[in-house]
Amino acid sequence: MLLYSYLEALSCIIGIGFAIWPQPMIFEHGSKVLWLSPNFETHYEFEEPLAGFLETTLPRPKRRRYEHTSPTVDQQSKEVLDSAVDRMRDDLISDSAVSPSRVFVPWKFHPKNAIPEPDTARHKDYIRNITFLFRRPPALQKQIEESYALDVSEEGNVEISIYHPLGGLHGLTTFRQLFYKHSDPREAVSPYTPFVPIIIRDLPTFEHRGLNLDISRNIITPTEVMRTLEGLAMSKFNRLHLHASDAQSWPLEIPALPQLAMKGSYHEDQIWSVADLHHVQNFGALRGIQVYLEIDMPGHTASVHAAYPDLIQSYNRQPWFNYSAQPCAGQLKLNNTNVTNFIDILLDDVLPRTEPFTSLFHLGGDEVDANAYDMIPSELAIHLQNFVDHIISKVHSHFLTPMVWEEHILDYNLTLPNTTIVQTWRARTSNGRSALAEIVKRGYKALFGTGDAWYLDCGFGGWIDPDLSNPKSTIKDPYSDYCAPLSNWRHVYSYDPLADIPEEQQHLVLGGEVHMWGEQTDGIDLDSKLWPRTAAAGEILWKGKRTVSEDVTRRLAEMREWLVAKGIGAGPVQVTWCLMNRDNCKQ
Amino acid sequence: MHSKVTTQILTICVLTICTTALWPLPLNYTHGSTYLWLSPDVTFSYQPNSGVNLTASALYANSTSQNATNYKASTGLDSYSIVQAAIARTQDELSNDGFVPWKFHPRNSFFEPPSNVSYRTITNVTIQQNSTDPANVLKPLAGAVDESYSIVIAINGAVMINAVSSVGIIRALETFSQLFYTTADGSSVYTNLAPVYIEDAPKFQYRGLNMDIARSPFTPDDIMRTIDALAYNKFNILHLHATDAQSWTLQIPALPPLADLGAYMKGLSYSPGDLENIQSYGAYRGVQVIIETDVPGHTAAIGLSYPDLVAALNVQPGWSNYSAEPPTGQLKLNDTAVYDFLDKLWADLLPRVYPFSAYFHTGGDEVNANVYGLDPTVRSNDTKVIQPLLQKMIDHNHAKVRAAGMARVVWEERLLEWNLTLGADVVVQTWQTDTAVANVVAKGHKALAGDYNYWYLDCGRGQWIDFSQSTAEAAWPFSDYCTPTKNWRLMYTYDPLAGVPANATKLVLGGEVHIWSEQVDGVNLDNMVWPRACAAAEVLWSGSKDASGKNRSQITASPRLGEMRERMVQRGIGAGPVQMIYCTQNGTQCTL
Repeated sequence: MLLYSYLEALSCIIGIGFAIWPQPMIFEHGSKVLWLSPNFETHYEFEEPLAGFLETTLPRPKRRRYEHTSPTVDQQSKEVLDSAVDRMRDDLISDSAVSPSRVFVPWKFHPKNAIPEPDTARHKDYIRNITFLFRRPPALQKQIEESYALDVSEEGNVEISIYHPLGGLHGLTTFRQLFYKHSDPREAVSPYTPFVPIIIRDLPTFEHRGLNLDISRNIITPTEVMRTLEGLAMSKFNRLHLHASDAQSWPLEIPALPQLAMKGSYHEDQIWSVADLHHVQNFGALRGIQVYLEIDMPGHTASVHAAYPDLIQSYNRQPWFNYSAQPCAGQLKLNNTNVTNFIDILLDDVLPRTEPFTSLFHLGGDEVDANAYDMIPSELAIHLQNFVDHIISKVHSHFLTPMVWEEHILDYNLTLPNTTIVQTWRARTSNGRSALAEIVKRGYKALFGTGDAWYLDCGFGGWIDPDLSNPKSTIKDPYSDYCAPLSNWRHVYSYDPLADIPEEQQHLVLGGEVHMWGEQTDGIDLDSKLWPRTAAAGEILWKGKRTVSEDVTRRLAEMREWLVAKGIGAGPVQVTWCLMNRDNCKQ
Repeated sequence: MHSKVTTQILTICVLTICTTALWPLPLNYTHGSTYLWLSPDVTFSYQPNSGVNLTASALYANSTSQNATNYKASTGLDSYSIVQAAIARTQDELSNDGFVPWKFHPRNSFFEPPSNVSYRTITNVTIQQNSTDPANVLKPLAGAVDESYSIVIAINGAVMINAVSSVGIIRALETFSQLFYTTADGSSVYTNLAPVYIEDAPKFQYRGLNMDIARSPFTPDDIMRTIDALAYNKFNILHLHATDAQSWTLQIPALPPLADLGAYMKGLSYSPGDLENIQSYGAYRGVQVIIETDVPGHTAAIGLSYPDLVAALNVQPGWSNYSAEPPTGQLKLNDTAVYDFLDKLWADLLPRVYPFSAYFHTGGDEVNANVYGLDPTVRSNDTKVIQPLLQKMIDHNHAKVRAAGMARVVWEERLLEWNLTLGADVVVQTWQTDTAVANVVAKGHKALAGDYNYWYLDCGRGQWIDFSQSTAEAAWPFSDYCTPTKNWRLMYTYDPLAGVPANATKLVLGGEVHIWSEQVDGVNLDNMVWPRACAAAEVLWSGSKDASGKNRSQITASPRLGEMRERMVQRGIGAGPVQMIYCTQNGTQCTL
């Protein structure tokens, strides 16, 4: 079999993809048809003993040590992969009419009545065995944790070579997308792949591939987040950033501070309980996605006021636009021992609970308003530094990596430990460079996700009501929002995060996040706002800079069908006629 | 009828949190703040005016088409059964909406009827119809059926609904259902608005959604769900743009290959039974379903089954010289085979839709002159040559539609670009400019509004045409022709009567909001249409201006629309949110 090589994958980006989103680094295939046996089996093999290999990387209990004295599969890795195989089996195999498969007939991608389907009258060759081959890693490099090599031989042997279970999860995600459902319902018990033999070598370009989902401004339930995690896993995302609190509501249950959610959530039935969060994080972990929390401080905290009014300065101060980007104004007080105690209790409660599932905690820091403190910015910066230092030391004491928004560095010039990951969002700073370029220039690790391309909430119009009796009102026809226009999927896909980053600083760019702010989004329209655009961002995060083309459209349109088959309400990518008539809708 | 209404209570509500519940806003609406329970066994007594019991045969009596007599009418499609069905739906909604309006009251506040006070209970709703329905009550020409109604809910729980027609009763019951909420424990239904006085009638008689079912696949269920939502918003027209260049969705038994080869896939076309079900479903809800078969442009899909009938069929490359979007192709303009085809089409389709439609839309948008340079029956792209041929084809088609008993609707290009002579009764649907409505009525025609800069729901989602590496850079950021997205506030400010002289406003029948489907299918349909189409609904029902002639206040509209959205979600429509809960929980905080 072909040996996997990290260098080979980087130097040899070839192949026109069919079917697979994001596109693998190397994808070579034939045209033989194999069917997936409904009774396929999974095997685990080892190249070498694995002692100590899996100790830190799987998003499961971090400080637990595994002792391996024999070349058996690490039990936890096997559990993760076994459950992924079970999910795949459930998706690909129709057990009965009650539990149909979640595979699609690819009629939209071929001329009418011309799906190149296998002749079912002929003998069917089956894939009966899937083997995970654990290889000894050449070095502990983060990038290769998620790599995988997938080979499907003409004889129907499937081998997924990995260094880590995360690679196995991605390998299965890719494997799943190789299959189609036959249009004859009698032949739809199990799917077929028309691409055998298959050679895939794959690994991500960026190590942090995330979605920032605001669950505080409108209601997004745990069920809706888990549905989103399913979609994210399909595009090989590995981070879900829950923007879990904001000025408008505090949905997160904190047992040590029970009033916080009881009074601060929109409704007592809409609280994320300890069990909800645990369940969602575990659900993500099983799919290779770290679900981590942002508790935004000291701005965006007016909802704390409902339970702890003394902790908030300038609560609901009017006119709100002098003290906050949006109603309701209010920020945690600075230099206040009650606030410090509150933060200590809060973090000592929440961090140990999330830490088994993630290495990250986001302490926010965007849009801190100096007017709300009646300070000038330089004065505020001094207090902010103390405030942030304290939180970061707390985060470190729980063995987590702190994340902050770019404003702490770019607006207030704070000095933070170099472990900190800085999340950027502004496309341009005053000197014309992107915020990302400014952050890495200062030596910080950074995430991209520019507001003018990767904010999925933009362009749907403003949500502030115009006061017709206010002659100074800025809310006017055509009622655009601050970040209009809407970023269509091609725009999302054309974003080149490294465009103005010098090569010697690119190693500081860990990856990025696409953003779904919640002012005008809740669980009802979440899917169609996220998808297929989030998948478009997923391929940039997996492969780096890309260019639109009809091939891209067609592959993304296939991903959309996968999403819909999985029960995710993704909008269409392309007119059906164009998909059926390749080369006919070009300009 | 009740006495003169006051508006005092409504004015006070603006200053505090006040969920006034109704969308679209009634003409006259006053209410109090007393609670009334709704009995789970509430009865609706409906006595039609004597002799109102209209039968299906009466419905079809004025058909002039021979085939109409062969049409197998739905049994029981009469006024009485329509009202009975509306009552049944209303009872179902009242008991199943389960709408607890907590998002519209301060956080953690108690807003339900206090348990220590006993409130009166509504046990019976009396419905009176004051007049006999006209024969065409379920498929009227705009204005032919009076949709007005009144509702009185007395403080003692007595309820009286009055309407002139059975369609007015449908509108009244919809309004009535929106006055009620469910308690958080799910056990009871109440209103907090008694006493209620409503007198209501639509500003515009033609209130429609144009839904493109040709470019993407939609199931009959998708369409019927949309009809439900239209009825909730008191729309009365669903215009199905049923055919286009990309696919032909209507099964035509006289021309079987048309859908067999022209639909995207076998099964993705509407059988005569499907179409009848959809139209009947609409009729039961006071939503007339009218069909558009767009000719002579937008007909490339006919070329899949009858290639000889279509000129410039799918020209590649260079499609943009012949069409706004691929595939190119228009019916040949001077070909007897085309006329034979059209006659078969009309003879099959028109009598089938006639029982449910007063209107038939013959299309006519975006006819491309260059195509006729390639048409062997024309061989010229000179508009002077093309214009009389177009006139001849329109005259022919319109004679058929008129003979089948239906009024014609056409796109504005026929009148404003090609300067064709149209029958005085032809309704012209505008879309291209903010002067089109005025231009159409200036020529003496009835007009439909729906300017694409305001009321195209599909705009702003980006290009769908693919770009190569060499063309992509110039095309960035891939905006579509009608970007940006039309938000509900912009749609809400659109005035169908803008620029129309006062003496011609009666020619503006109303308008349509549009959902073209290049990037919409059944999966994202609901949130592409709703809640934004609600904004158009209120413009069409209540007018875009308030009593003082100003644009309506969004401060009062947005929580009301937010409530409507919640109600629609409870009824199974995937409408997106209107505002943050923070805003609707806190009165006028989100105002500037």
